[in-house]
Amino acid sequence: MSDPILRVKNLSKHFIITGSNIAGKTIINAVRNISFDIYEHDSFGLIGESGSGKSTTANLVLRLLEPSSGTIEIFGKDITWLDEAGMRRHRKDIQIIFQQSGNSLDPKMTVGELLMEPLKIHGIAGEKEYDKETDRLLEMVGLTPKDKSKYPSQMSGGQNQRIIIARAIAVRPRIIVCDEPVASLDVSVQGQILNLLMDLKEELGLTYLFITHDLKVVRHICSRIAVMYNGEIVEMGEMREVLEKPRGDYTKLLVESIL
Amino acid sequence: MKRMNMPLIMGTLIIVLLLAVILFPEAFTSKSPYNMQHLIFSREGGSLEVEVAPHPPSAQFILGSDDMGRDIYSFIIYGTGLTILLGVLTAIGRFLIAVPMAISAGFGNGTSKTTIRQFNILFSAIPALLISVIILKLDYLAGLDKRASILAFVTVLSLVGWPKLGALLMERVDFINKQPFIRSEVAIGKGRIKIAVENVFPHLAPEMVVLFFMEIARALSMIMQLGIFSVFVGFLKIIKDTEGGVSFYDISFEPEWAGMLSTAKNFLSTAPWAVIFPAIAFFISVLGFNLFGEGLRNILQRKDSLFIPRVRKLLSFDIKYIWSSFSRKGKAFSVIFVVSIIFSLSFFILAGNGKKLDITDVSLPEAHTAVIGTDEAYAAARLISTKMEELELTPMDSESFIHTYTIPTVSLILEQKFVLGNQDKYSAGTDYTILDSPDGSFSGGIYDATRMDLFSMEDFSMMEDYFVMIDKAYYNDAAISYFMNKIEGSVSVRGFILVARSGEMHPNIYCDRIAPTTRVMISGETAKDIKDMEKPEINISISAKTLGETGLNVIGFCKGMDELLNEEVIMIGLPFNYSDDGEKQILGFGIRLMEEICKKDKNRRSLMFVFMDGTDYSKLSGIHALEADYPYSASKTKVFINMLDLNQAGFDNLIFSNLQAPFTRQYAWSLGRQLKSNLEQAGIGITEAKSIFFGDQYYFTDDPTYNTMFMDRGIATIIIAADDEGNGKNSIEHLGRILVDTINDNIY
Amino acid sequence: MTTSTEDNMNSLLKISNLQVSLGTKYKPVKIIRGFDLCLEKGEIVGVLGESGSGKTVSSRMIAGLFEKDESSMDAGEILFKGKNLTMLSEKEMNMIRGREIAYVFQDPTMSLNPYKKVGKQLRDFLDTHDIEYTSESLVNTLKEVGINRPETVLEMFPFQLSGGQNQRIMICQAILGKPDLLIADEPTSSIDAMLRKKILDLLTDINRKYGMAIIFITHDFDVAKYICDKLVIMYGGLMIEQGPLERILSNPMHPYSDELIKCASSLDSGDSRLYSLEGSPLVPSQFRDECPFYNRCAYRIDSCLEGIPKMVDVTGGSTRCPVWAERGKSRV
Repeated sequence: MSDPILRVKNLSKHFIITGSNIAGKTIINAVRNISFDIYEHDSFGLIGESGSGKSTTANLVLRLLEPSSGTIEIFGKDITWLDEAGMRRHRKDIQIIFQQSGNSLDPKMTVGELLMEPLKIHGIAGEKEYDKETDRLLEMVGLTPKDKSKYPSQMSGGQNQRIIIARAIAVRPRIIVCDEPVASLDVSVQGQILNLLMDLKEELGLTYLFITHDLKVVRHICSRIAVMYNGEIVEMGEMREVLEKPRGDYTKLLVESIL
Repeated sequence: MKRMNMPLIMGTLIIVLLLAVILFPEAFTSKSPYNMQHLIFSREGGSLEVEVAPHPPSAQFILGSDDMGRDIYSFIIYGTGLTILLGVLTAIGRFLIAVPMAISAGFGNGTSKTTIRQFNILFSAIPALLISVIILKLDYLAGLDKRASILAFVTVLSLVGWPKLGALLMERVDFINKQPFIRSEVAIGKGRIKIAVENVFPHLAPEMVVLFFMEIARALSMIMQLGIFSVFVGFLKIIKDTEGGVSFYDISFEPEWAGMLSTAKNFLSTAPWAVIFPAIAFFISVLGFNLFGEGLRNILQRKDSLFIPRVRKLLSFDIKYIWSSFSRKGKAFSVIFVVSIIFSLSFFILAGNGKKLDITDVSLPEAHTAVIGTDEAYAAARLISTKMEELELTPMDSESFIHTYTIPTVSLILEQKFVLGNQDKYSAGTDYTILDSPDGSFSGGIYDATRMDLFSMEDFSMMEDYFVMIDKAYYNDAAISYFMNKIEGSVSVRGFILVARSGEMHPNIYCDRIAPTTRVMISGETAKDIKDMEKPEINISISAKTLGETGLNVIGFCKGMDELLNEEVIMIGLPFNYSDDGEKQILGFGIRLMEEICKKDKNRRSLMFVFMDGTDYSKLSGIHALEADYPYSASKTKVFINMLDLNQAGFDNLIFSNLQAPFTRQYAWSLGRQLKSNLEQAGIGITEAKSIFFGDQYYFTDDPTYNTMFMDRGIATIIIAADDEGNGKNSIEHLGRILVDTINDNIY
Repeated sequence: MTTSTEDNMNSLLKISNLQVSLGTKYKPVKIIRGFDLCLEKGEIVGVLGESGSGKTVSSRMIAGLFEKDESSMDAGEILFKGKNLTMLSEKEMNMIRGREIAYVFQDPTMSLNPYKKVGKQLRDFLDTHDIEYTSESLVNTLKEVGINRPETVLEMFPFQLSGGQNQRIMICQAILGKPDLLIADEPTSSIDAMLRKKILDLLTDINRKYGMAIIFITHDFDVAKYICDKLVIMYGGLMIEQGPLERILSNPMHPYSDELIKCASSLDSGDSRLYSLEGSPLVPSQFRDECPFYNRCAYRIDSCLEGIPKMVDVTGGSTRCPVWAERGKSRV
């Protein structure tokens, strides 16, 4: 196998919460010393319950949070300690698809503006091609160009999730971190989005770091998974192997909990 | 059924009403807020009833009057502008401090965050109201004039009020920053400043608009509270000398609501209307701004509001490009620049425009001189009177603008020569002055009688055919005149040389032609020269022209717009004689000044322009005639602006005095103060006219004509004259603009 | 299914043709356009619907949890043990709420006072409703809902406990009053999957033990499948199908139910390609007088646009799709 496209080594993050009393400093170890590699065109699942540290990991990998220790490498380049401006150049390569919620898109920007932003920032297309490019993106995620003038609030949850996806793929990234992309969607819509994600992966040759608590979703998307518990990776391996023959106690409990 | 936005409708109604009142106060009341009617007389059943202010609400005073007999209703109407302006300026001031602080704090600037927090703690420990009262009660701040007082007020209220606003905005910025979409903007690689401009600020904008109106309401209620503590703009402390001692009043002559509360609170039990109605005015406007803010909130924060996208578009179009093209230093500079522009703009709005009064296009007579009693003077007077007609001024008597008066016979010196020995170095006015002489050339020796006791002399034969030199220092004028008559009666002399008393030398273009021989006054230095000569010889030649016997005062009356105030008159006195081109410009200046002041239909009071003849020679000055036969009620003449000695088109300093416009003459006093401070602000230096405190009044020693109007007629006088020192860096055009602005702006 | 009048009288809860608008009287938005429910003692009925379907509003309406000025009932009646709940005064309703009808919220923190110890809260609740209890019975009930150290937990504050524990305490409070009806509004959606199963098992246990009827509101097909006896499926503010779970699973009688089941089972399967239903659920602003599912339906015919279809009885329940009820499931 070739070199990993994303490599996380001994990554830790602790939050210090200052209490009201003088000595009241609580340290929360959200992520403890985790390591994993993701290879090109792979789809790596990070699963766990709420509070297991999987979302913190996603934010760390994207440098939306500052890690406490450890290293993050993409394409062999250490991005752990890049400054804000330095990191901004790498945002083109690694993108995130957030969980759709009321305000994950600026509610006062039209769909067109939202999609144009990444194009402008990273100079993806010339100014004259913005229109064409946004149309193309909209079509790719199953929306129509006439949606451009709409505001996120005028669209359904599923459509908003599609816009979030379109924004992520606009800069032509190679890695996309999907943070619970279907968790807040209705059952009848979840399938659409998951299918879209899988299609895009094929079409654009993407690599996913897929974060979810839903083991059913994992089954469809991921080839390798890591199970997180209490900030640590407790089990990692091929998806089928882990889910069908779980070794750790926690993984067993998790698999049993599927209804 | 669609839901009506009641707060917005109510708020808009109130604000529109306030605006209408501010812009067209005269549409709401015909009464002047400055008019005082302390006593009301009425005849009832044959007996005279006298009612003393404060008057209760009645047909005459809709909402009653205050203790000075001013109409509460019109005071409220005319006070709206200033009161609301204060509120708005304070809100702007607070925003100017709070917004940058809040945004930088919201983006994690520790210093700003701490500053906002600490100030909030400070002002929750010590009420902001208390601090403002203490600061604004300082003698220095309390004694400022209107504009400076507004500035001080707004500054103090902004400083004590911004932390609360800052904290509110900071929280809001914090809240916006925590929204998930900000994180997604970071994730696509947007820079911090861009996020601030394109995402945070637009989302903050509706809140800011709403808070702005709420802030005006907050500022207004603060101003109201300050009013109760006798702190208000346009603060005047009137000291009234009564028999029991000195009493102090806090009285506002500026219509403004807080000031009304302050004055009226002492009469709460006897004249509740004087407190209640201003308080209601405050209440309504506070309510109005609050409702308007609330209503805007309903609109702007509606889901489908397009306000935020519009703000964003506005910002991304301009600022982004301009901003990114600046260097770091340039950015700091531009912030300072913008802030100072805003400040100076608001200042200029208050200060009026700074343009000069252009006098170049005034058409002036062709003659090079126009001296009293000459045809040229008559031509100039005609010119002025034509101008007055054009400006639709009215003459004081129905006949003519030109009033004549008789002057003593004098002659205008056309040519003069003074040669001592063979020295021709002496100049008229400083070394010698011919007082009285027949035409011709006279020469002869000089008999020095300065050491003689002329009173006890009987035999004057040794003076035969000599010029007799007498030292004026030893005798008074009457004695000298007696000697000269006596000497001439006994022997024939060539003439008299009078050694001037210290400081008595003056230039003179006039002389008498009554005496049979020459009388010339010389300076001490010239006298010394004579004494140093062994056999002094002198030659004096003179030709003169006797002037007409009539002086001309041109008087025009410009009626004020305010029916209740146009009985009151501002008199402006100007010279119109000239003997050189510089002085000729003064005439132009006078005409343009008249045009400027009268053409603006802004004058509430009437104006009386008096162009006076003979102002360069006290004996001939038209002011005496004017005083003796004053064409208007002296008690209704509120002030006389005396510019009769304004004899230079350029000057460094002005001789200025408002000493004869004391406290007790309220209007004149305020105008004088305003004028003085405006002159100082424009960089025109001021020299006080020489005065002595005589009796209980100031008396000017330099020029007796200065005193005439005040001493003899009781008309408060402000003196403006040119100081002949310096090289003329300021011009009358400067002065003219200041005069126009001050007279038009002064609304007392 | 045919129901006689006598059956109606014996039903624990009988809701017919409920229509509800929310919002102020100036700007009402119709949320529920037609909801019927018949619940017998001891039954677990699942109300299944996606966002905007009106499932939560209908359940809150039953418990009378709306203020008078924020909701209006446009039509219908709610008969609980023969009493019309909508006619009751606030005071009478308070007596029923908690005692006879208990409500468990999605977010337990909504109903627990964070500054009151758990024990105190439970005792206060019991005192308000005059329910007899002993310390022992309290501890036992807590054990029953799966709290391991009840004595300690009674002395703790809600914020010291996890979401799952708080949810158990809520359920404990709900069953302490031994109500006849428990309304559980998405009780498992805010807690982790591992706890979800335990909570569901707990509810089933309680149902068996006390014969307590449960209305279970959920958007999660798996959850509904796991716990319910009967199912009410909602879409676009309308009940579109109801009937026993088994029947609906094996033979859905409404295209939407059919699609929903296909979507869910596709997720369960190991298929690489998921079955998906195009379009998105209706939101109240899009409600029109036509079949709510028309836009996404593969079986639609023109008559579907002629007003909101009526409920039609079919074997084992009823459906709002007259097309399937009359012609069978065949594409036109």
